This record gives sequence, structure tokens and C-alpha cells, in this order.
Amino acid sequence: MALEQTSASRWNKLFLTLLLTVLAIPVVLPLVWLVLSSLKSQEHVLTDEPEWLPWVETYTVHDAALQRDVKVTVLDRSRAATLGTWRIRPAYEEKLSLFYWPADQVQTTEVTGYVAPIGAVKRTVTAPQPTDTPGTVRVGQLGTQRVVRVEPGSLRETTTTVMTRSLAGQDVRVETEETPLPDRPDAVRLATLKVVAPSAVFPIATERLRGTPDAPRLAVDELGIDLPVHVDQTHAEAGVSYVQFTAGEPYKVDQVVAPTLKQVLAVYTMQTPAGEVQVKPTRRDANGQPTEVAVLGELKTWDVPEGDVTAVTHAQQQITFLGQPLSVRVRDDADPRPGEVAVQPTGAQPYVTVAADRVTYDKRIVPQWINYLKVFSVEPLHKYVLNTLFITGLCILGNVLSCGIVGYAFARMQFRGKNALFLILLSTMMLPSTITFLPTYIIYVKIGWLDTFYPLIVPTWLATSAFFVFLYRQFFLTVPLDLEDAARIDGCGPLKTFWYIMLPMAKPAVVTVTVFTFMGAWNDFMGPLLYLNTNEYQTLAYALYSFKSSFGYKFPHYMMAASTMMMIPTLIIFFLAQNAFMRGVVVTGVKG
Amino acid sequence: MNRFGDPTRWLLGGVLCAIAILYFILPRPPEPAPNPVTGEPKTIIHIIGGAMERDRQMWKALEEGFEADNPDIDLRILTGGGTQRKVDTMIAGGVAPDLIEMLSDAAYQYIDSGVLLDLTPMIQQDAQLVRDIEGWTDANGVYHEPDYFEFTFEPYRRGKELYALPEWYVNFFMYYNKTLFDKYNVPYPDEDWDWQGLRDRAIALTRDRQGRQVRIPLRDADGRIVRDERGWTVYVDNPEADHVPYDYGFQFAQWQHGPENFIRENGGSFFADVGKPTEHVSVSGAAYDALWFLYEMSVVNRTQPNRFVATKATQDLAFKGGHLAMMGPYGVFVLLDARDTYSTFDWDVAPLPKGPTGIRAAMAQPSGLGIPKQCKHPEAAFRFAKWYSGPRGGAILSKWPVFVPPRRSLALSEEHFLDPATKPDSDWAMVHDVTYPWVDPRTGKQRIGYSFIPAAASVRYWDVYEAINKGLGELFVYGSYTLKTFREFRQEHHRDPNEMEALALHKEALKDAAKDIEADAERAYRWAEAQSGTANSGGMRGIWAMLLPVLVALVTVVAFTVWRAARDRSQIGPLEKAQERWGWLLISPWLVGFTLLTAGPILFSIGLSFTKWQALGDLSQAQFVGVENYARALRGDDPQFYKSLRATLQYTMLAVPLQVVGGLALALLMNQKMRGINFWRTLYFVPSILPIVAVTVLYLYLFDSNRGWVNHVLRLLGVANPPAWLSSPDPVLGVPAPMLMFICMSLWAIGGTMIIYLGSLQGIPTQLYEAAEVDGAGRIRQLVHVTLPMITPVLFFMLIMGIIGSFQVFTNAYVMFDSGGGPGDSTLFYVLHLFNEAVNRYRFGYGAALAWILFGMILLLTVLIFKSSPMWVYYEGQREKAKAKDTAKALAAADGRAR
Repeated sequence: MALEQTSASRWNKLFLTLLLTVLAIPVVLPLVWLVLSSLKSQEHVLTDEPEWLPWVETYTVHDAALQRDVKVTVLDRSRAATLGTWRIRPAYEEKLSLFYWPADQVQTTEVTGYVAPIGAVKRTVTAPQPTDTPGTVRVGQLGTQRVVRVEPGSLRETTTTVMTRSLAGQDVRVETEETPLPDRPDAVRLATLKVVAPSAVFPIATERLRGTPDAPRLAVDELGIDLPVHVDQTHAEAGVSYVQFTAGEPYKVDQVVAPTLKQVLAVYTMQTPAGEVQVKPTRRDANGQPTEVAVLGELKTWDVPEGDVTAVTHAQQQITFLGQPLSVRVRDDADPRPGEVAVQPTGAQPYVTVAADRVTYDKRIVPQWINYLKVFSVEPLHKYVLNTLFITGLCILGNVLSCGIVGYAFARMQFRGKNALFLILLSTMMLPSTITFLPTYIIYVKIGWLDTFYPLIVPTWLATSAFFVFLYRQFFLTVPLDLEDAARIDGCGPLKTFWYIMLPMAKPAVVTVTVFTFMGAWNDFMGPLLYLNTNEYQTLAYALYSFKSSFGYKFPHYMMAASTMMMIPTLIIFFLAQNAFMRGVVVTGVKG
Repeated sequence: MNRFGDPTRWLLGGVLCAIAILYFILPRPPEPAPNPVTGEPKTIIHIIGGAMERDRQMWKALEEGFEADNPDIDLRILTGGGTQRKVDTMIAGGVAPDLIEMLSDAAYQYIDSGVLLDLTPMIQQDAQLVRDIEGWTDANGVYHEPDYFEFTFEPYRRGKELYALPEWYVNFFMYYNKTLFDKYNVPYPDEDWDWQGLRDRAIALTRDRQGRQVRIPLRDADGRIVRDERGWTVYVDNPEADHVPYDYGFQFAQWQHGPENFIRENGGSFFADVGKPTEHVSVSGAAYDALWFLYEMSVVNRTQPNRFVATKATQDLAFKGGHLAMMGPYGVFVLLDARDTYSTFDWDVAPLPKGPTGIRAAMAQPSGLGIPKQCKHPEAAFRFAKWYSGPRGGAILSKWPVFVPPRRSLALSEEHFLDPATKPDSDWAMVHDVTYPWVDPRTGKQRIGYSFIPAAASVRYWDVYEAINKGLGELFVYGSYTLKTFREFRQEHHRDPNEMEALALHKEALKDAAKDIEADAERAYRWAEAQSGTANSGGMRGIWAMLLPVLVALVTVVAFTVWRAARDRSQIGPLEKAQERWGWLLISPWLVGFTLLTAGPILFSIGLSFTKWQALGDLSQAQFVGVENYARALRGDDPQFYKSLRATLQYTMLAVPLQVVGGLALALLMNQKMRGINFWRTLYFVPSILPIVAVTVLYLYLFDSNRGWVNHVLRLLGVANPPAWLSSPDPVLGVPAPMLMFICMSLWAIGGTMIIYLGSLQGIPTQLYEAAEVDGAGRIRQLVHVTLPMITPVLFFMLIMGIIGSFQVFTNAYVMFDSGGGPGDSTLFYVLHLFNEAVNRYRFGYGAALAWILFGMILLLTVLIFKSSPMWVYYEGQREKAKAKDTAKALAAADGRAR
């Protein structure tokens, strides 16, 4: 009775299943994660809390002017906790840094800009101004600061405390009168509140507006008060108004609320003939005193020859997103959609601040099958598949037969020098291929096999894989001699014995060699990389791993998709092979 | 007897048929099209293009553009995986592509090896090109500056000779996360920012989970901010904030050119004389101060992500995760991915901050197109090089706005490179400094534009940089730990020193570390000098240098074989003679393969191990050095030799027993007749199907210190500080953490071992168990007395293969940590070191010697195991050897009678 039959007891089986299940956990979970991650978008592969499923979070905001929901990306989620606002922008399409917008909602305007050579670089500048020198104009560079050297001590560093409150989702600078509550550390009694600086324009439901059209006020729900606002009439939308808090008189509140936020700002100021200006220290002397400061908001100017300044008129396209204009460029090369055009924001990624509660959040499982499509969009895929199958098939035949026959000779034939030769065979494995690949390459070049399949196939037919020869030898050595003797008595020569006795007896070895060779040839990367030059000759593994997944960590989702797909054929081969070598093997005893 | 008429045979037959069919439908490359104008065949020129999708798109555009302008040339882009290795191999094989793309630091190797053609004669024939390169004076005596940036030629010039035309350049800059800057109201880096600005920003951006600054300015009794001798704010721990930051300010890029930038901004340099590094390596003075600046900012002030070694992989992951505000200095290759993958936050680039000397070491790295001497159509190749670096090619290149065109007319134009519509917004940071004249502190000369990375950074001195980086790594890697050290340091040296005193003391203490780094770098430098082709020119050269060792090896092997054969001679009988013929006949495939394909390279490598050869160009440059290569390794002059040996032995000793025993245990479990056992077998087998690269990348993500599953589970299990697998060499269970990770990886793929065992278990004849059962043996006894002895041949096989394989472990460490060897060199495996020396640093001779030392060790172990095998390996066949001999004799006798 074989071991297999003796373990038939039900409890044994139960125990075994349990054991296998427990052991399988560390084996299977990484695999499951790999397969599931191949369906994620890239940023979800590594998240703060590890995730299993391909969740996709979508944020949408209703744009009243467009009369529809717009998918948005939230750039700064943590602001919501403190300020009640989020910064958003329209969501990009598949990381193409463009999004689709209704074609009729893209406005085109002619814009005139000026370009002047400043140093060696041509830069966009402000409009030229006349100077005293004839033929020259003065241009200012956009967005620069002037740096001046100042005497130490001429600066004043003051810190100001700025009180801000989140009102209607906006971070508003306010002045308040508060009394602490001894029993409530988290709260204060807010007596009065005064907006001291206008806030940015933001959208709000029109129904929240109170007061008259001349003096509109916004109902600040969280405090239950109305505050004066300015309504931006240029952005009229159904149901939505674009408003801005205006500085005003103190407003009586008298409520228990959370303490007001405080921000401490360090402000540097400098006395100039024109009064006190705000500056920014850029360099300090040994005493830590600023010696150079940047005067904020001033332009660097240059005098350049008049002719060198060129006026450039170009069409500027812009869209209005939640009432805020964004400069974009229409991309004609992107796939068009009916009624929509692909637009790409120009300059900085634009964002809009909205109240967090205006954003609708949705989280659902959406497998990103597109990863697979992307990975397999390598051209010409079918050619790569054919090449790979051809190479793999020949490698399998080569290894199974040639290594088998050599292994048989080493196991069973008696000939002088056998042991020495076997040691030499084994030792070919002990030299790292890092060193031998170069001379091997030169050999293939010399015999003209570069850019052909020969270097990938021929070695397998010449039993150069010591691993498989050794494997065969070990298996053949366990075959009882009686069988061979019987064959010989029946008149079989060594070749027939090998074919009819040894190979069937070592079927597990045959299958192992088949599966291993398949895996090796199927996934081989270095061989095709070195020996094949022409694109038409390339193999699937090479194409998938190098073209799309950069063979590394940068695009894990693509790499995982490629691995998952490449795994499947090997799995099928293994499953079939398994049946072949497990069935009825135990009946190989010597009969009579 | 005829049991082979089953699936196995079907399988073989099926494969054969499939191959026959496939042969007829295999794709063939297109025939070259004739020149549409003249009808003559086109000249074909080859170049290796990157294999990434983006590279392919770019190359396709270039190919189309060039062929439209030059209808008589067929430009073929060979797939190359974007690896230098392919180009180098092709050169060494004598089949170099017609054009070679080379970054400046690789150029030295090619030019010094005499691989490249001098382009000057061809350039001289084109007056416009000469003007563009050298500038010109018009009829009115007005000088026009050259269109090319002068520095892009620097690496390719040797005296009057020029070996490449620049195709583009990249420079080094900072990446920053605008969203984080906005979140904490910190001003973006601007044109004028300096070290202080970097430090203040980095510290201001390092916040805890609640957004509180982790380090705050130290104030004196009057509430004024305390400043150090540089006038910079002194920071102390914020008592209200968490100790461990959540958002980090700045990650200093730990790579070859990272520290170089800062050191040169401080007016220092690693080499006493840059450009022609003949003096010693220096990590003192200005260089040390620059390193201290980085150290104080990153480590003392905790602005760099904890527990991250800044390998490119982990650093990139940290930035991508959105919790790192700035990183750099990095070049363009991060930018390539940034555009595709930084989607959850807004980002931009900024020029490097100016150093205390007021200069910005805005170093740039040009890439050029050279033409090898092996090129068959140098004229056509030159036309492509000219076209590519000219206005037409540059205009196409500008559409992939990460490579800066080498011409002013393209790079400085908003129509081309500075297209405002593309990311990054501040692309001026890549061309900006071209406009700034500055004084080179080393030469005192005024220079315009970029400081080009000097000769010292060439591949030849790669390991000097690596020695320095490794040393810095030891300082920086321990992000969290060094801080602890800093605390301990305070306690040891002063009962309660103030912050500034403690810092000063710490700075002094770290000078010792710098001394060590300097010594290592110096040693690496001497070695680099000794190995470079130009160092000394005596001694035998070429193929003759290798002949002697090759002959010795050949004679030894043949003598050994003959001696063994002769020893067996006495036992030869008439039947054995026939068997002997069959034996030699049957192993003949291997004999042919071995002689033709394997033996040559092996002998060749023996010969090379006694020479120094750069593996570029032909063998005539190999120079005989005797046993010097072996002596260096064994004498201990190569500090990484023993490090790598130790790592490899550690891995072998742990992984091999676990694999051999674990695989067997699993196979025994799987060798049951049970419903669904096929499912289980497949399940356990699956991990070993995945290519090693895929497994490594998977583990990189699973073992991520902060966000990976492994540490997540460990935290759930109550481990407060789970190990930093990818960044700390601290031991876990007595083994360095990354090593343990690689052992886990090898255990995970144990399915491959399992199926070999399964095969042998299935081959055990059933009657043995029947007999054992009759004798009353229980299952344990059956296992010990039947199963184990019967599978010893396979056990033996697995042991030998395990040892051979694990001594050569390489790919996983290479993919995970690049060529670096992991934190503290804890996973610098032997073959990785060998690969670095032979392939990355072009010291093929030394690499070959390393390979043969490894060979010796494996062979010794194998022979020992073989010798021991009669004691424990049981061969069913050989037990009957004696009996077989009798049978054979009887058979022979029978044959004789029959005749």
C-alpha cells in the first residue's frame, strides 16, 4: 500500500485540509493582492491604509452654469477638517493631464503678449514703456522681485496674530470678541465678529443670500447670522451665486462656539520715503540681521532695444469652472468625444476653493480593466505571441530529449571518464553567467546567429542545461536495474531502452523539465534583449515587461497586470502536466 | 512496457506539430524599401532606442522626421530595453550600432577605449555647423555666440578631437509638492532661494498629523529667535507636537550626483583637483561643511522621511504618496515618470538653492551621439547625429519637454522647449542658469552657464562616489536612529548642554565618520586609477596575455579526465567496451554543445581573469596583470569583497536548508490522495511561476515600511515599531531585515522545489510500502525507512542545486536596491558585487577573477557533498550494481552462446 492510501482516514483529511489552508494564507494573500492590485489605478496600489479592492473614489461638484455634475479631483483634503473648504480642479482623464469639456463652453479670446530677450532667454514680459534713451523701451519681467541691500537695523520684524474663522466653508480673516468658558475648554462665548479682510470669491447657493440686491448678505448657517457680501454679477448661474465676504461693521453674535483659529504671521517691514512697505529678507549677515531684502510686488525692469520686443498675439482659450476662469489649451490630438473637446490646463494646475459640503463623494469598486488593455496594446502583439510560442516549444522539445538522453548516459552507461565529465558538466553551472554572457555573445556573433532565434533554441538541443541533465540523472538512478535488463533480454538497444523504459519511468522528471523549461523560455527577458535586435523578432515577455512596465516599481499596476496574464499559460501547462504525471504512477513496480 | 502511449507522448507530438505550423507563419522583418528618388537601396543605419512606450513614441517621431528629410537613409531603431548593457555587449561583440547614445559620464569609457570615431573631419566640412559650435564674427566685426551651449561638448572633447554631437542635456533640480506648500502656507522656492531658504522651508513643512510644526525656532528669554553663527535660526523640538512627523520637508537624494551639487555650491569638491583628478579625495573643509548642512537639516531636524533609505525606489514612493514636500537634486529621469504618476497633488520643479558662496552648482549632464569605428556608414550616421542635434530634430525632441535641446535657439524659446503649456511650470529652472555668469571657485575663472559635472564623475570613478554615498548613507539612512544617537550623544557628553553646544559637539563627532568615508573613497580612488586603461602600459597585451592561463586550465582539465579514465581502464571488459561506445554516443549532444558553446566562454573567462580589460572594443586592449586580480580580492583590498561574501554565505546558510527541508515537507503533505489535492498543488506552485522581477516588485510594495501590508499586519498584531525592511540593516530575528525579506521571498517561491520532490515521491515503487506494512511499520517508520532513503537522490540534487543557485543570487537584490547592495550593504550579494565590477564599472578582468573565486568555492562545496554522498544517498539502481554486473556477464555469456 502506498502512503497515499494509508492516509484515507477522514480526520486525517480534515486535519490536512486545515493545515494546508493555514499554510496557504501567507502564500496566497500576496498573490491575491497582486491580482487585485493589477486592477487598481496607480495611486491606489500603495495607500496609507493598505487596501485589497480596487476602490475608486469619485468627487463630483454640480456646476450650475454647465447644468451638470463635474468630476473633480480634491487636491487638499485635509483642509476640510480645519477650514471646511476643499481645493478642487476638474478631474483629469486617465492621467493624461487633460479633461473633457463641452465644446460650446470653451471661449476663445485674442491675447496680446510681449516677448523680449532678457539675457539669453526670451521671456514673456509686461508691456514695453518708453524710456529717455531713444530707440529703447523698458520692459518688466513678470513675476519677479527686486532685491535691495539694506542697513542692518532698518528692518522691523513684527508678528501679527490673525484670527480666521471658517464661515460658509471659507477661511475668513476676522476680529472677534470672545470670552473663555471655564467649564468648556473647547468653546468660547463669541460676543461680536467682524470681517476685516475680503475673502476670495466662492460659489454659494443663491437661496442662502439675504438682504436687498444692493446690500446682499449671506446667511452663515454655522453661526446663524447674516454677513455683508459682495455678489460677483459676471458669473451668473442658475441657483448659484459667486460671492465674497466684505469687510464690515462688527456683528453681534453672542453664542457659544468653538474657539477661533489663530495664525501667527511674521511680517518684515521697512521704512521707505513712500512709507512703510512689506519686505522679505533674503540674506542675513553674521549677526542674523537681514542685509538684503526683496521688496515684494516690484518688477525687475530692463531697457532693451525697441525692435527686440515682439508683440505676440495668440488665441487664448478658457473655460469657466464654478465661476472661475481657467486658461486651457484645446488638444486636437486626443480622442474626440461627441459635443466635447479635450482641454489641457496651461500653466499651474488650476484649482478652485469650494465649501466641502458642495462636493459629492462616492466610493465604489471599479476594476481598472484598462490596465490590461494598456499592457496588451503593444504592437504587434500577435507576432510576439507567435515568436514566443515557437521558441518555447522548441526549447521544451530540446531540453526534454537532449538532457534526457545525456542524463541517461550519465546515470546508466559505464564509460571511462564519466565521473570527471559529469563534474565538468556540473561545474558549468558554477560560473556566474554575468561573466560568460559576453564571450558567448561573441561566439554567436561570429557564427552569424545574431538577431535569429538560434541562440535561444540551439543550446537546449545540445543539453547545455546542467540542471536538467542532473535532474534526469537523479531520477534515472532510482529506476530499478531489473527493468533495463529485461528490456535488454527482449533485444532493446540503449536508445530503445531510453525511449520505452527510462522516459516513461521518469515521467515526473519529464514533466518537471517541461514545466521548468516552459517557465524559463516564456518569461525569458535577458536572452531576447541581447540576441534579438529586430522588433518583429521580439518575444512577449520582453515586450510586456520592457514596453509598459519599465521592468520596475514605477508602474506597479501595469507590471502586475502583465505578470497576471503571463502567469496563466504556465498555470494551464502545470495543471495539465500535473494530471499527466500523477495519474497511475504508483503502479510502476516490477512485475513477475 | 508500452505505457508511454499517454499524455506525455501526446504532449511532445503536439508541440512538434505546433512548431511546424508556427514555422510557416512566423513574422519576418520588412525588406528595406528603395530610395523613392533614385531607386537605389537605402543605406541602413542602426541605433538602439529605449523600449519604454514613451521612448518608442519619441523614437518613432524622430525616425519619421529624419527619413522624410533624408530619403536615401533607412534609420532602424533596435529594441534595447534602454540598457547600456546591450550597447556595451554589442560593442564588445564587434557589432556596435551605427550610433551610440551616451550620457556624459559613460562617454569617458567609450572615448578612452578607442571605440569612437573622431567627428572633427566631418564637422569641418559643414561651415554652418562649425559656426554653430564655435561662434562666428560677421563682416561688421560683431561676434555671434555659438548656437550650441558650449558645455554640452565638454565631455566629448579630447584636445582638438570631438567624439560626439550633443543630442540633449539634463540638469539637476528640486521637485516640490505645491499642494503641501499651499497647505502650510509656505512660499514656493523661487529663483533666489538659498540654503537657508531650503532649510527653513524644509523645517516649516515637517509637520505632525495635526499639522503642528515638529521643530520650532529656539527663543531666548526675551522671546527673540536664537540664531547660530551663520545667522540661521536654531530649531528645537516643539513640545506640543508629536515626535514623529507625518509630512516631511525634504529628502536629500542619495545618489551619485546628489552630494556633489551641494559640495560644489559650497566651493568644495571631492577631488582636490577636479577635471584631472590626480590628487586625493577630500571630504573635509568645504565638502564637510556641505555635508554637515545636509545632515543637520535632514537628520537633526528630522525633515527627511523616517526609515527611508533614499534609494530611488523608496524615495520616489514617498514623494508619490504626497507626504514629502521637496526632494532632490534629481535630474530629468524622475520627471519622465512624474508627469504620468503624480496625480494626487500639484507639483513643480525649482532650481537648486544657491550655496553660501552665492553660486548655484546647476550641474548638467549632456548626452551625445557618437559614431563607433565599427560603423559601416559613418557618413550616413553623422547625418543623423547632425540632424538630431540640429533644429529639426530638436523641434521634435522639444515635444518631450524633459530633455533640453543643446541649442540656444531651441532651449531658450517658448515656441520649443519652454512651451508654457506643459508641465513642469517652472521649466525655466532647466535653462535658467545659462544666463548667469559665475566664478568657478576652483579655478577663479568666470564661466557662463552650467558647471558641467567634471571628469571625476565618470564611470571610472563610480565607486569613489559610491564609497562616499555609502558613507553618507550610513549617516543619513538612520533617519530616526541618528536622532536617537543625537539624544544619546547629548546625554553622554553634557548633562544638560544647550542646543547649540550639543550641535557643535555633534558636528565634531561626525568628523570621524567623515574621515572614514574619506579613507574608503581614497581606497576606491586608487583602485579606480589602477584599473583604468591608461594607468600603465607595460606588460603583455591582447590575446597572448590570456593564452597561458587558458592553456594551463585546458591541460589541467584534459589531464584530469584522462587520468580518471585511465584509472578505470583496469575494469574494462568486452561488454563494457560496447557500453562505452554507447555512453560516448549518448552524451555526444552535450559534448558538442559544451565544446562549441560553453567551453570557449569558460576558458576565455579564465584567461581574462589574469588581465585587466574594459570589455569594450577588442581584446587587444586586455593587459596581463598576473594574479593581481585574485590577490586584490583575497588580500582584502576590496572591502566589498568580504562584505559581499558574508552576505552571500548568510543567505545560503539560511535559504538553502529552509528550501530543501521546507520543500520536502510541503511535498510530503501534497503527496496525498485527497479530493482537490491538484488545486492545493497548483496553489502552492503559483508563486514560483512569477518572474523574479515581478516577485521583487511585489515585495517592494508589500514590505514598504509605512504603507505595506507586512508592517500593517505587524502593527495589528501589536508590534509598535515594525522593522524598516527596505531601509535599515538592523537585525530582525538575528538577520538583517532586508536579508530576511529575501529569504521570505525564496521561501514563498518554494513551489518549484516542491514539484521536483513530488515527482520523486511519485516514483517510489508501491511494493516497498506494502512490504513495510507487512513488517508492521507505522507511518513514521515508513517515512524514515522507506520514503526518505528512496528520495535521497533528489534530496542530494536539491542540496547541490540550492547551493549553486543561492551562491549566485542576484536578480532580486538588483531589482530591489539597484546596484547599491541595500542598506548598509546588508544584501550586497557576491554576484551583485561582481556585476558592479565587471559590467557597471568596466573591470571585466577583475570580475572574471571574482567569478573564478566563486567557482572555486562552489566547486569545493559540491565536491565535498559528492564525496559524502555514498554515506547518505541511496541509489536503487546502484544497490544492484554488483548484481547487475553478474547479470551482464550472464547476458554476455548468453550472447556468446547464441552466436
